[in-house]
Amino acid sequence: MLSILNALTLAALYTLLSAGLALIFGLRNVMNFAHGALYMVGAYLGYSVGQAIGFWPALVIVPLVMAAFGAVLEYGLLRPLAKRSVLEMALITYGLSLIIGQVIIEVYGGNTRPLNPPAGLGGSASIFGVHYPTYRLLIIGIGLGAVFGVFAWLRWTRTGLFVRAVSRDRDTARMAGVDTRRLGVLVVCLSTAFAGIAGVLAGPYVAVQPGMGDSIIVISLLIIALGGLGSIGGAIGASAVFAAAATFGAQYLTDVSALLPYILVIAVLIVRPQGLGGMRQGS
Amino acid sequence: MTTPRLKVSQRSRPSEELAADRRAASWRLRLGVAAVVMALGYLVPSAVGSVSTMTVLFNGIVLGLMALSVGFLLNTLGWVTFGAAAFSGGAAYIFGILCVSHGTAVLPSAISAVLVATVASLLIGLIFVRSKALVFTILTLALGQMVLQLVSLDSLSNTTGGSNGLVVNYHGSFLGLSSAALAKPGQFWYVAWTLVMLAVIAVIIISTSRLGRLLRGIRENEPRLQHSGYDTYWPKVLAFGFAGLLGAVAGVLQAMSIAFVSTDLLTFGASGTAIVAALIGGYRSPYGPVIGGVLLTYGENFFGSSGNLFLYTGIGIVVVLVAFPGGIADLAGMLWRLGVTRVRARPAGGR
Amino acid sequence: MPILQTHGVSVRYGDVRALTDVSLSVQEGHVHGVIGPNGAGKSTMMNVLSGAQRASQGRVMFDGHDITSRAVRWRRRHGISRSFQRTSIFPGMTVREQLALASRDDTVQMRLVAGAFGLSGLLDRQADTLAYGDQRRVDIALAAVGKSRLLLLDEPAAGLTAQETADLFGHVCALAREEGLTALIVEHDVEAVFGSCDVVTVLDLGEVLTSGAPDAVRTDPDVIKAYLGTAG
Repeated sequence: MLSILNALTLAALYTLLSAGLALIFGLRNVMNFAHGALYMVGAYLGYSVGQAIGFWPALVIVPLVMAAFGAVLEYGLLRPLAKRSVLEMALITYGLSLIIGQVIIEVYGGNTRPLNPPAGLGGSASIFGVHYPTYRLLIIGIGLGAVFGVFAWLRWTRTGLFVRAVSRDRDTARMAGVDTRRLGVLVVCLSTAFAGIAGVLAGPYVAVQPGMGDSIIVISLLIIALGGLGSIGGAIGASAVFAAAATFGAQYLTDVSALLPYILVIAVLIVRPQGLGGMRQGS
Repeated sequence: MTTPRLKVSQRSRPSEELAADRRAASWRLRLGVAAVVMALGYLVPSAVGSVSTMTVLFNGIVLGLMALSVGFLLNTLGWVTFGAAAFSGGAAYIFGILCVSHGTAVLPSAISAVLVATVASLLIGLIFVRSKALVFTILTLALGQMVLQLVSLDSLSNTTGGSNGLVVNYHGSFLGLSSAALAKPGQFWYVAWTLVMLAVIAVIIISTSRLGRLLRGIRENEPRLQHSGYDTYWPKVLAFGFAGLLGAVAGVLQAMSIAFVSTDLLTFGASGTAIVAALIGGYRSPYGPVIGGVLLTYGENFFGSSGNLFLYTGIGIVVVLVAFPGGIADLAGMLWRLGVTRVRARPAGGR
Repeated sequence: MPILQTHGVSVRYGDVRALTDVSLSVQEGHVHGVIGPNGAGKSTMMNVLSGAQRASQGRVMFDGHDITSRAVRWRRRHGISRSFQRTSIFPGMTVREQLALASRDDTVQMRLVAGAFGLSGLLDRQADTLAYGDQRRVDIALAAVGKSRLLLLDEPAAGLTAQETADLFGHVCALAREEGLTALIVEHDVEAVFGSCDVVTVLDLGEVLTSGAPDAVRTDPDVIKAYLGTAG
């Protein structure tokens, strides 16, 4: 049970991040290597706002700020360079991640900043017969809420329908009258906002440190590849798989289990290059 | 095949032959230039006085070799590999483990490490090259992380040194150089420079060869190439294996010079650094990645203390990719051609 | 002597019958046209002949040998080459470079084919700088070069003007006459086909309606019905 809860916590974080990454890839055809850095910015901003005002305001303010960053990213970088290839954009965003990472170190210094959960969530609750840190239950809650929210949005709203359509076939969608440009901004802002939420939540969970962007970006990219690049449902599923492999593997197998997620990704991508949930024939 | 009966102009020399001559001349010219550069390179330790500059140059060309492995794939197949560290770091670790756990002398260890890493890269290539470009990049990313995790395993830490790294005390001499000599960049330079330049020459030869044209054809239109009767699988495997070989040599050179291997060699950042060097120096020319490696190492030295290296590196990549896709080598090439055309335009004999 | 024959070739995708019992015979040195309304199965037939697709039933014979199960590369190596409906060339390479690649550096062949398709003046131009009509000719030249005995052309005139189409068919006919090359051309442009081909086969709904000299086919009442019927 403990393992299940741990896996769920990790899956929640992974989902928040990978859903955003999948959205940006599906809609803008960009493999955003700066996503991890954005997550880190969210964490640091969450730290600062948290210290200044409080955790809960931070949970609202930071995503909004990150969404604004997203707009800057879209208009400043993604749109002017829309004609570039996927791999070129991947490298450019990688360069961006280096810049962001360094700026963070300039502003905050290189030390790890441990963060305590907000008041009221510091203890543990009894759930399904085990004691589990209440804060992590919050993460799970928000993560599940985000999953449900994204699904509902994609499935039941008009914009969600447009997102799915553009993901599948941009040109046809545009011909059908979908405003792909407006949709693009929306999706990028949503993606960065999610990264921000994940960052704020992660603070009290893993502590805030300058390397957190690097460690998460590789995992996030592998997750969306496993789920099928651009497939949000796939990203959610793959996040669960990854989190499960990491948690249960460490628990029940020897330490070799650390290799499990990577072997899994490699195996799946070789047999099924479009990932578990992907439909694309390949770019 | 029946003899052609369509009329062909016999007046002037057929243009294909002229073009072929031009190509052969350019090939010979490039090799000539490479030989000159190689010869000049041997003068570097005498010309450079300070040890710190020598260290920068040495580490620079080693990074450059790793960057060349990345740049080669980028230039021919148009593929980005985020797992270069798996082969250079991997070879470095194999070298270290052979020296420490098995007590093998430095020369056999180095050669074995490079061989094993190259064979591994060919075997992995057999699987990876079947994928399309984007999936390939992700696969290399996963590979890099996997090797990092493998080396960091607690169960293997006795052999690998785990997160502490492995101090490699090796015995024996490497091509006449003792371990003390290998630690001095000024002395190790000659061997390292030879290997790096051999790699550059190999890249030149491959790029202008049939294989190079095939690889470019694969990048341009693989299905069409297959419909023209070519096998596209083995060329890709060979390219990947060759890149692995270059990376392996770089890794072993590094391990030999500092006599230490750590997981830093296997991180995503290490692969990223190689890519950055290839981009900034320019991957369209074989010299580019080497230049990029030196520049990056110099930058690390210069900015290292203030940590601004990553900032400028990041800015550098973005600027280069957006404005100068060919990197510095391309820029240099452009300036050279500009200068040459100016010289040619000058009227002869002061008329 | 027929260089290419199909015996009872059928292709089915589940319930859909793309080709049913298609038997045709192509004489060496002929320019053989294949026409038919949309959905007639022309592209499928092209795929079966080039090896890109496997027939569910029937045999394909090339030069007397059964090649039904042979792969694309094998067929190319033994003289069957094809061009594509959507122009598929090597954009970043010059015309010369790609012809060299496709012909395995056979400069005599290259000169010949480049001349035949009017590309001699464009040899050093980078392919993606060429006009569409020129790119199309490069596409077909890539198929023609390199010891081809049978050229399969899939809608070669797509996107070309009437004049360009006429020129193209002219080049192909010249190659057939002078080099003994055989060409099988799947085409929408019925006039061009009737104007240049030695034999015309008409496909409709996956079956062969008729096959013969252009004049006979053109006046065949079944053919007229098939075209008018579907256009109606």
